[in-house]
Order: sequence, then structure tokens, then C-alpha cells
Amino acid sequence: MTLKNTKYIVIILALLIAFALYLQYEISNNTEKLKRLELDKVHVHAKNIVKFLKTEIDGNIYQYLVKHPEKRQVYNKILNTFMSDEFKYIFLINKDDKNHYRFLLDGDISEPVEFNSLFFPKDKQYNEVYLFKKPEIIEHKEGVEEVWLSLLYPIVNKDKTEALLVIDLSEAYGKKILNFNNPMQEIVLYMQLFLVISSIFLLGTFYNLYLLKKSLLEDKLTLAKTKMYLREFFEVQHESNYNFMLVDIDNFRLVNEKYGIKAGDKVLQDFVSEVAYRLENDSVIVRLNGAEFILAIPKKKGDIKRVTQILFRQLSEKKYLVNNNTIVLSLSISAVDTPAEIKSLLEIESILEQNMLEIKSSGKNNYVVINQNVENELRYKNMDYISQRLDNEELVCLYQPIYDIQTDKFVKYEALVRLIDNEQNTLIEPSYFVDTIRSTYRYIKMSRLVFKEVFSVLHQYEEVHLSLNLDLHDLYNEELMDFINVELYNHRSVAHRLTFEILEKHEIEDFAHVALIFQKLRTYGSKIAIDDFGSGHSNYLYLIKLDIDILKIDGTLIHALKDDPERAKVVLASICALAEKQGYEVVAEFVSDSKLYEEVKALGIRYVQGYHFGKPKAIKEYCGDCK
Amino acid sequence: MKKILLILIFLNVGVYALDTQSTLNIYHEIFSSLLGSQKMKVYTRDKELRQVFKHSKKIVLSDTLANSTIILVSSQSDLRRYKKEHIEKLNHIIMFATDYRLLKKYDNIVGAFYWKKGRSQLLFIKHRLDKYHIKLAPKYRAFIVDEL
Repeated sequence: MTLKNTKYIVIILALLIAFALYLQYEISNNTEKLKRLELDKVHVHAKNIVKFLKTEIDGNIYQYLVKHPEKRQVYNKILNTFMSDEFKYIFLINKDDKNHYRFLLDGDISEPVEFNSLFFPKDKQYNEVYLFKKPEIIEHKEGVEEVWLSLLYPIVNKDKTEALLVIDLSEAYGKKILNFNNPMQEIVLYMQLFLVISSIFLLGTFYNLYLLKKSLLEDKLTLAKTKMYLREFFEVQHESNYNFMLVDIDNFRLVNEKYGIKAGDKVLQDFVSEVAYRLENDSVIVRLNGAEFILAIPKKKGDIKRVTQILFRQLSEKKYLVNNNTIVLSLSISAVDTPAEIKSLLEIESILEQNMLEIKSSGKNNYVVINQNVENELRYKNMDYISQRLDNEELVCLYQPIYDIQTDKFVKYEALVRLIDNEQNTLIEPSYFVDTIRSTYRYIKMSRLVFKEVFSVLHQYEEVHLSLNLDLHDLYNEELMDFINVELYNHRSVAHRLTFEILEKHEIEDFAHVALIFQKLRTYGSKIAIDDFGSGHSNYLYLIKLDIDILKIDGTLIHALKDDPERAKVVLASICALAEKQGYEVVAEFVSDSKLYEEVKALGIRYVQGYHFGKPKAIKEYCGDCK
Repeated sequence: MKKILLILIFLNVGVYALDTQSTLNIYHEIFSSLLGSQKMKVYTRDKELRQVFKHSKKIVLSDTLANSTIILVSSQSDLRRYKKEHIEKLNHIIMFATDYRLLKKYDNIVGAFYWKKGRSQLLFIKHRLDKYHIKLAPKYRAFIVDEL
């Protein structure tokens, strides 16, 4: 049951309760209405009887009845005609000189009371009606049997009450009236009972939900909050009011292995207590899993860089007692100064995780605070934003020249894809958007646009050679590779002027597969270059297992000529010697100044690329005069 | 089912007990106001009332007229029987009726408690009370009449 559903259930239940109460009110009203109708009827009867008696009797009623005993019988019979199940008794009384009531007429002819016999009513209303000459209804409670209500109707002559006409409504009839709505009343009662039971059940369910939610919102071990809590928290709070930190205890697995899970748990508890103590109450500590935590820290606490710096130092210095040993924890912290335009927690998590990877890959036990260009970074990494750019074909290729030292000419241009940010009039580098779309059909769409552009340039300029980057992932993307092969076939006349630069961020596990793909790419004369050779996974094994044409030496190796020239020269010379023996062309990347150019030239490297020769630009700017 | 039956029986017994008790209370009040400190030894031929009085701890049922301190008259036949038994000899015993007509008919009856038109009626006749030197509590003054 979701919170939304329970909300609806509560609303429905509240409406039903309101409806039940309305029904109850209406039924009660209806009963009162019935009662009023009956009383109106009694009033009409009383009025008619009194009218009749007044027309019959001229003068004082008592004296008339004393003088005409024969008339008593007649009038008694007339009163009797009004009697029914509804009216139990109808009689006429008056007050004697001593203020005692005495019977004058009685409609009950089966057991008539004696004329002028005494009558002692207990209710004060008799005297009141006699005195004030206004009809009144008496509701009997005790000392009266089989009578529900009595109407006391004064017979007034010359502004003096001469007698009271009493009409008693039977108790049985009263019950009939009052119970008229009983079936409905019962239904409403059952309905109310059902609602009460439902409410109790719902309350129980809510309580269970509360317990369940509590267990889902709080980490039992450390009492830190859970990610679900964080999500709910930011349903009501705005992310931009908080800065965030992703804190990971480096190699915490080793603590568990060395000291045991129980001791590890104790360390985690102490760690969370320490963080809570350092950050105080208004921050949110969330345990993600294992020894990874997200901290949401209110911006009012100050500059995130400073907060991170202090927290990193405090937590790194904190000593934990584990099985009589004192240990300290190594931490990696990725923090972000949240921009005002942030749209979701996911975006923040993505940035934090990405930067955490960088910290981890650069040796852990460190912290990074991201606060520059985060806004753009978030925007450029957003799938909707990228999709929109691609749908509008807001994509362009820039070309960086590769210079042949021997011929003193540009021999090739590396095509570098960019998305166009028209709002800020800038170009977006692939590092922002490629990973976001890599596994989606948008990546294929982008590739189509790039190939369209590249082949267009190759057709336009007959002497121009271009190179194009392909990630290792791309080689495993069947749809993409099929597309490239078709494109190569379609443009086979120019395909020999295209070089594929293979970027490698991960180790190749299936060389046979990659070799087959290289073979297909070379079918129409295209060349294969290994990009960033000498760094990461681009290693010598490639040269053994794969057929390649060009080695593009990684820029960091070229830059090493500045920092550590002797060693760098030895390494680069060995690569050059190897390339020469194998017949590979060698390209030195990131040649940014004349000094580096001279060094590279001295090493005998023929092809160079870098800002010293040209920045990435539109092809027209380099090939305006090309054929 | 048994439980429901038992509840019904208890309910009936309860209602019966309530009726008996209220009747007893009424008569107890009336008799004690008439008799003052005298013991309440009631003679009545009314079987229903005798059954009711059986449950009283204060009212004692008398089996003979001579031994009673109050005679409760319920019917004309009772009156006829008392006459036969020379009720004049029993003039010192207070008589109380359960019917208006009896009260009217026999001068020795000091008052009556009866139901008329569904209403309980209590009535005492002043000169008859005086005859027995009975002074009723003030709460009964409204029910004392000089004559019927």
C-alpha cells in the first residue's frame, strides 16, 4: 500500500463517515418530522372537537352537562368516534371551586369514568394550560402507562378556560412512529459499525506501515538514515539548500576480515556517531551500503570546501578501539557545492559517484569538492538535453591537423565531435555526453551524424585524410559496427583515406573478436591506429595480437619530455624503434610548443599533433584551398 | 441458543422484579404515611397483591382481619365479605382501596390508589383521615380532598 493509496482510502473513509453521520441526522430529523405531523393531526382533531362542543353547548360546559345528563352520553360517543389505535384516551376535564380536576366527558365508552369524578394529574402543564389558555404537548415519563404524548387543549369561553380537552396518543402508536425508521437506522448502525471496524483496521495498518516505514527509513545498525529517507526528505526540501558529500571508508572490508564482522559493525556505529557529532542535528547522514555514506549538509553551515576539509581531517584523525587495538580509517570524500538549478538527487549522486571513482582511481584517502561548471556539467550530462541536441542535429565535427615533419605538410585531420550549446554559444565536448548515451539508440544516431559529416568532408576534399575515434565498447556494438561497415562500403571510394583511432579504457579480453573487426574495418583500405599508446590498457600485447597501422603515443608520455626528459626519451625511443621494425607509423600527441616539437623531431617521430600545429577547428579553416 | 434463552429468562425476571418493587415501594410509602409507627400488617383478598407483598420485608401479610393494621380493599365482593364479618367491629382498622368507586361507596375507606386513563391516582379524604386521627406528611397534601 503506497502513501498515495492510503491517502485515498482515508478520504473515502472520511466521506463514508460523513455520509453515515448525515444519514443519522436525516433519520433523526425524519422521525421528528413524523412526530410533528402526528401532533399537527392531533391539533386538528382537538380543534374540531372543541369547535363542535362550542357550537353544541351554549354557555358554561360544566353547568350545561350537569343540567343535561343525557347529552353526556351523546358527547362521549362523539369523542369515542375519534378514538383509534392512535388515540388511547380522549376526555374532557375542568377545575372545580377547590381547584381539583374533575372528569366531564370520556370517549372511552367501554369503561367510562364517572361524571364529575376526581382526576389528579401529576404534570404542572395542566395548570399552565388552564392559566395561559395555550395548547401544550406533554411527553410522559413516569406514573403514566400506555400513553406516549398528551395534547392539552383549553376550551376558552369569554377569556376564561372552562375545560381542558385531553387527547392521549397511545404508547404503541408512539413506538410505531419512533420505530418507523428503524430498518434504516439499523442499516446506518451497521454502516457505522463497519466504518468503526474499518477505521480501527486502518489505524492498525497505518501503525504497521509506520513501523515498516521506520525500519525502511533508518539503518538498524548505525541508526543513520536510509536512501529512501533521503528521497522522502528531498520531496519536501529543496536539494539546492544542501551541499552533499559521498563518504566512503576505504577498504573497510579489511577491518571486517581482520577483526570480525561484529567489531566492524561497532566501528561503523562509532563512525556514524562521530559524523553526527561533527555535523550536528540539521545534517542528514545516510548509509548507502557497507561503508558508504551520503551526507546532506545545509548550505548555512558554510563553504563546502572548508566543511569537507575539516570533516576529512577530523574523521581521518579519529581513532577507533577495536578488540584492544586502536585503528584509524582511510576515507575518500567526494563533495559537491550544489547549484541552484539542480533538478534531482540522482544528478547529484551521479556527480558524486563519478568523482568518487576518480578519487579511488587516484589512490583513495583524499577528498574532492566539485564546485565549478557543475551547472553545465549537469545540463550536458542530461539525457533529455543531449537528445534534443541530436534531434535538432546540433552537432559539429572539429578537425585537428596531424603534421608530417618530413614533408612539412598537414597529412591528416582528427575529427572531434562536439554538440552545440546555442544558449551559451559554446561547444560541448564528448566527455560530458558520450557516457550518458553510450548504451542507447542516441549513440547510434550521433554516430550516423558523425559519419555523414566525415564522409562528406572526404568526398569534398579529395586529398584530405581523416581519422575518427572509436571506443572499444563500440567494437562490441553490433548495430553500430554493421552501420559502419555499410557506410564504408557505400563510401568505399574514399574509405582508404579514413583512419579509425581505437580508444581503450578497458582491457581487451577477446582479441580474436577485436582482430576480426579490425579486419573488416580495413577491407576498403581504412587504417587502424591505437590511440593513447603507452597509457592505461593500451599495451604491447596489442602489437602482438592485433594488426595495426599507426601508434598514437599518449600525450602524458610526450609531456614527460618536459618533466623527466632523460627517462622519457629512453621510453619514447624504444617505442619508435619498435614501430620502425614493425612498420607502424608513429604520431606524437599533445605537442603544444616548439620545445616539445624539437624533442619529438629529435627522436625521429615523423607525425605530430597538438596545439603547436593547430587547435581543433572547422575543416574549412585548414582546407580552404584544398582540392 | 442456551445463552440467549438464559438472557431472556433473566430479562423477564428482571422486569418482573422491577414491577414488583415499584408497586411495593408505592404501597409501602402510602401505608407508612397512614400508619405512622404502627406495624404494617396488611389484610387483602387480592391474590395478585398478596403475591407482591410476599416479597416485602416491611409489609407483613395478615391472614385475618382482626390481626391486621390496614385493610386493602380491591373489589365489591371484598366489601360484601367484610360487611358479613361485622366490619363495624373492626372500625379501628384503617381501610384503603384500589378503586375510586370503592372509595366513594364505603365511608370507612380513607383513600385509594388506582389507575385512571393510564395515570396513577392517589386520593385521600380529609374527614375520613381525621376520623382515624391520621396526619399525612406534607407531600401528600395535594392528594387530600374534602369530598368526592
